[in-house]
This record gives sequence, structure tokens and C-alpha cells, in this order.
Amino acid sequence: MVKRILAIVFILIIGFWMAKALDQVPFGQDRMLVGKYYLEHVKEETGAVNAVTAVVVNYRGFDTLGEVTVLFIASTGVAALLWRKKRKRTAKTEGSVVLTTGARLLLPFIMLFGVYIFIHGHLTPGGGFPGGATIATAFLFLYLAFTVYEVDHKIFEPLEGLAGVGYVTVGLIGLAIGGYFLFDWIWQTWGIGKENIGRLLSAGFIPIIYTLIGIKVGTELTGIVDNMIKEPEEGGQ
Amino acid sequence: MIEVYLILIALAVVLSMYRFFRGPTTADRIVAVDIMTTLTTGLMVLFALYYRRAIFLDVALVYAVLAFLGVITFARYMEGGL
Repeated sequence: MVKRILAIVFILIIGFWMAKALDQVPFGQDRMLVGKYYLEHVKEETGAVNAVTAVVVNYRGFDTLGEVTVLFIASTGVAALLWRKKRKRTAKTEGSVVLTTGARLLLPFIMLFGVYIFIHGHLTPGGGFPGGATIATAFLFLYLAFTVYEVDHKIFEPLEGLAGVGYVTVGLIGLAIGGYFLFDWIWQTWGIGKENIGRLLSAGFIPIIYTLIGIKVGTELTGIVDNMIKEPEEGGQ
Repeated sequence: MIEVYLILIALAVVLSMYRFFRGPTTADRIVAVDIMTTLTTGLMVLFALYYRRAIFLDVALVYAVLAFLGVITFARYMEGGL
């Protein structure tokens, strides 16, 4: 009881302290310095209508590379922690007919929607990470509905690696053409799609990178689900 | 007019929160979460109307898919299908 009261008092003190600090920050006022630059120059500099994806992929592409690396390390870490030679699914209860039929019918729609999100990253909200998560959701649906389902590891893990290598390759091509890593070579030197800003074929390399990130995130999250859902066989190592 | 609907749906979310906190069984809580996610999807659509931005509907679609999968996951766990 004393411990709990102490904890509550401590949290209240921290909360008061942070509120005091936030009191100095002017919310809702026009105090943007970098943000204003992004909003004013995003169209002619990147060709993207969605300013968030332009910042994430184009202006601050290096951070996105770090995020993708973090996800890759998470996936590899889960796989390394749960590594056993013989592992298989131990689910006993079959999914009901409604669930399995629903999974069969809904799967293409969820997949298509995920692909839609990451292809239209420069036009609509979302991008590679939500799109990839939606694709992983489709595979999670398969895992939930069928007790024996398992993804094809011969295809999935190479695809994950290839997508990551593709992202770095796009950055390296930018380094070769423009002089720095993740230089937007399609937009700034070739100028493809200058006329149709706001349409699908615009925004330089943002759709390409987001397609790669979408594939990578989708396969990685599916791999994490696959690793966590399987257990070692009885008696076997 | 839309504001009235927004307040009504927010009220419905608060009311279903009562079932979530008090619900005696786990199934009650899962159903409460299901209701809350469905209501929140409706809330997102209404907000898209309120701000007159059609692109917010994408968010509602993603949320509908994810909420559905979340409830399915809990249900499968409770019947031992994981």
C-alpha cells in the first residue's frame, strides 16, 4: 500500500513537472520554422502531395532506413530467440466454417488494400509501414483461420532481404548520381512526372521506396507472427 | 448537425466502456472492445465528413480491418486455436 501511494505521488510530481515545462510551449501558434519550409516547398522539391511521406522518405530518408533496420533487427531477434530445429503449430481447435470461408473471401481484399496503401503513399495517408502492416494482417488472418497454415519460408525470407537491399540500392544510385545518399534521382535529375503532381506517376522515388518498405514490413511482421505462433514438437529438440 | 452525431457516438463509446471495465467475464470485455472499435470507425467516417476530407476515409478502412482481426485473435485464443 505504501509502495503504491509512493508510486502515485512520484508520478504526480513527474506529471506536474512535465506540465510546467509544456506550459512554455506555444501550442496552436504559428511558430514553425522547418515545418513551414516543408509545407511551402514540398511540391516542387519532391513532387509528393502528402507532406508526411515526403519528409519521411525524401527529406529525412536516413531515419526511415534506420526504422527499417530496427524492424529487421526485431524480426531477426525474435527468430534467433525462438530458434529450434523442429517447430510446428500446435493449435488444436479448427476454425469454424464461417471463419475459414471468411478468411478465403476476405484475404484478397485485405491484400489489395495493403498494396493500395503503400503504392499511394505519396497521395493518401499511410505509406509503406501501414501498408506492410495490413499485408501482415492478411497473413495473420490465415494463421488464425487455418491450424496447419504456414508461410513459404523459401520465398518469404529472400523477399524480405531483397526489399531491404533494394532500398539501400536506391539510396546508392542517388549517391552515384547526385552526390549524397538517398538523393532523389528520379525527381531531381530525370524530372519524370513533373506535369502530373497528384497523380500516381509522380513524386520521384517515393512510390518505389514505399513499395519496397511495404514488402519488407509485410514479410517481417508475418515472420514474427510465424515464429511466435509455432512451438517445438513434443520430446524433440 | 454532424456535431450532434459525433457527441452521440462518443457517448456510446463511453457507455460501452462501462461494460469493458465492469464486465464479469472475458467475453463481455471482448464484445465491449468490438463495439467500441465499430463505433470508432463510424466516428472516423463522421470526422471525415466534419473536416470535409475524403482521404480520412482510408484511415477508417484500415481501422475496420485491424479491429476485426483483433477481435478474431482474442476469440481464437479463447477457443484454443492458437
